[in-house]
Amino acid sequence: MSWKMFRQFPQLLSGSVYSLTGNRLLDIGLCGIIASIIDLDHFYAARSFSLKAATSLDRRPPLHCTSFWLVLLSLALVSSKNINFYNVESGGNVVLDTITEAWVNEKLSPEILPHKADFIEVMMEQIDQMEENVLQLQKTDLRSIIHRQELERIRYLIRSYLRTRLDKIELYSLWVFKNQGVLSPQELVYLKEYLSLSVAPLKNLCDRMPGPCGQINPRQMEIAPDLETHVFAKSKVDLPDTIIVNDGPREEEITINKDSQRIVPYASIREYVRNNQIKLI
Amino acid sequence: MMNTAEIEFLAEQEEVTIIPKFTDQRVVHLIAGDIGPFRAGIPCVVPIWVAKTLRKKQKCKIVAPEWLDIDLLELKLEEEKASRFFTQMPSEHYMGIAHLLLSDDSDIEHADRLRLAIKNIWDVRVAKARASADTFLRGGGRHAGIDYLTQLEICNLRPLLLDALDTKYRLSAPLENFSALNTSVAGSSSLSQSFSSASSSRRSQ
Repeated sequence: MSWKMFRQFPQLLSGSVYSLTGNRLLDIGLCGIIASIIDLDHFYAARSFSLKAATSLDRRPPLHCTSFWLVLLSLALVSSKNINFYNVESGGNVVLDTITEAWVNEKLSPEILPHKADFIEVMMEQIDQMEENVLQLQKTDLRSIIHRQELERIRYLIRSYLRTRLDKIELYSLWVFKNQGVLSPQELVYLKEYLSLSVAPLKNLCDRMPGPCGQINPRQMEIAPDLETHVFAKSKVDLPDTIIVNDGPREEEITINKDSQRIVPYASIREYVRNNQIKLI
Repeated sequence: MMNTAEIEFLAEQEEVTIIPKFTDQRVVHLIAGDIGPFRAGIPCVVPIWVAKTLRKKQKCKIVAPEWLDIDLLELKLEEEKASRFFTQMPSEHYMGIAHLLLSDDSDIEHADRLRLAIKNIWDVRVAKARASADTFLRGGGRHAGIDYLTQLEICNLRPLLLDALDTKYRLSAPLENFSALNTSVAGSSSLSQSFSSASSSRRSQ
């Protein structure tokens, strides 16, 4: 009986740790080893190394106390449930949703938005881990096909997101250089290299040109995103303040409720997009 | 700018019910969440892209979502016709999902009629969107409510409407608010933008 119970316990324990691998061999091995180790207390109770003394005890050795293991077992059960819940609800889903939303916003906003490098990093780690796990599956296994397809989809998402940002960095290079806060460290390196390769030589060339070209300064070469451009926006929350739309000499105030959709100038909702209260659609 | 393929990518993340033709008791731990276990004949909810993959391998039958029903869609069409505003659609990606599920070898019955019904609703909505965009442009103003307009419809409307709005704003805006040299818009709209800034500066002279 003890064998059976101890076989289940590590399975739960390892089940919660290796729930993604589904590696049954490891489970079975662990069960065997742990169950055997527990029987070592026979020797402890008998205070002798002889097998005979160990198998003919008059009382139960300390580690064979069932109630202790039952309590531990139920604790493990509860905690493994919690761990799984945590993984599904706040691990994969939220990060993926955040990246998807950031991707759409980045695609639709005129300016470059604050980076989400920490989310990307978490997702890349998950992808790496998942890739290792998938390697252990057989290639023809249906699950392997689905996993591979999901990895491809997420990689596409991340690639497209980063590429959109790089496009904006190249287009608005000098303007972005003045507003570096939105860039991730890697993007900043890219921007600096891009500037030294593109803008600096252009300026050198202009310096030698006669006429108006010779007097060009960096400010004139700068391309700034047009924040007055219009966007389609959807609010994720009831906004506490009204937003102000400048229309020539007039100013208009609008209240925005949760889930309402509007066409508005980007400049009016810029702050809300940057802190994720409004998303672009 | 988003294109229709990218919006279809988002639609593929929506969920759909399938009836598997195989049994696999193991839960598949996807990054986006768990799916399964699959039991032959027992319905089970998966993302559409999984359903499409399984379907391609003849491993499942796709069940139409509740709203993909001829009678319901016809009611919806009447409601859409009767209302001045956009009505709420049963799904944010109704067109994308219908397009994905009603392919040529679809499991769903009356695929042709369903496609037609969806297309009718789409036509009414897009016509309405064009008409209100026209009124909006004529009427002036820089903002408008577009509740319940879905992403694909917006995508259909976006290039023309936003460009027109931007151009109109630049033509009417006080000159000190922008400098033609320092402003640019990414991609395709830059051409019309340079046109608009050129014409506005000519006007000011």
